Amino acid sequence: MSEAYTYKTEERIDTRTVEKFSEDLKAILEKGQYELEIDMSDTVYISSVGLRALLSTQREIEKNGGHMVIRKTGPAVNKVFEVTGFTKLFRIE
Amino acid sequence: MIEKKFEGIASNFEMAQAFVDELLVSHGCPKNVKFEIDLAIEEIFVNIADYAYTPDIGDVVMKAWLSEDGMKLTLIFEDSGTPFDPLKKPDPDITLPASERQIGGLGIYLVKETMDEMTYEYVDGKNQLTLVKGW
Repeated sequence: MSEAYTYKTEERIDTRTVEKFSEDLKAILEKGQYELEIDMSDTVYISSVGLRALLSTQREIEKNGGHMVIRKTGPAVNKVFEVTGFTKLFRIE
Repeated sequence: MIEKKFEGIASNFEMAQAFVDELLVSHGCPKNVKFEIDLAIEEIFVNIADYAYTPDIGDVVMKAWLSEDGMKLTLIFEDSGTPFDPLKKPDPDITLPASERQIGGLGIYLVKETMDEMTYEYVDGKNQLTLVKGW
């Protein structure tokens, strides 16, 4: 198992910023990096477009036998994860 | 009551948020509630911008006011696009594993779950969506 790569998310993951977020994640996976840690300590805002990007990343990683861990989520991210059941989909530490 | 007309393009959602935030901040709306309201504005505004007038672009009118005690926001979104009741959309199954999860429908669901009230009416050729949130 290769060493996990840490990706730090921006302050806002929304309709304006999601394109870059998705592209960053895609670029990581395209390098064959399927051990991923997502550090969300800076993120104070996430909308459904961010959830969709995380979900497709998780799927791609699962398909390739890797692992994705989400770390250091704040109250806003926690709220959105709880409401949508994402707390059960992801490993959140 | 405050009222503003926006061009219904998705990237205007931040202007729509700023329009309501001013009202919230001046009345001491707690941070967590402000986040939920901002989130609801993005989800609803972008949804209207993406679907209501396709393939054209139309306007979104927003109206907002606070209750007398200043602790409850009522927010109305109006558009003259295709009639669409977001409350009729079935909720996504949030118990499914990642591989079976549907990718859409989460936005409206988030709004439904975080607002105190969400109602839809089609009046005078307009979609009228009303959100209420107290703190």
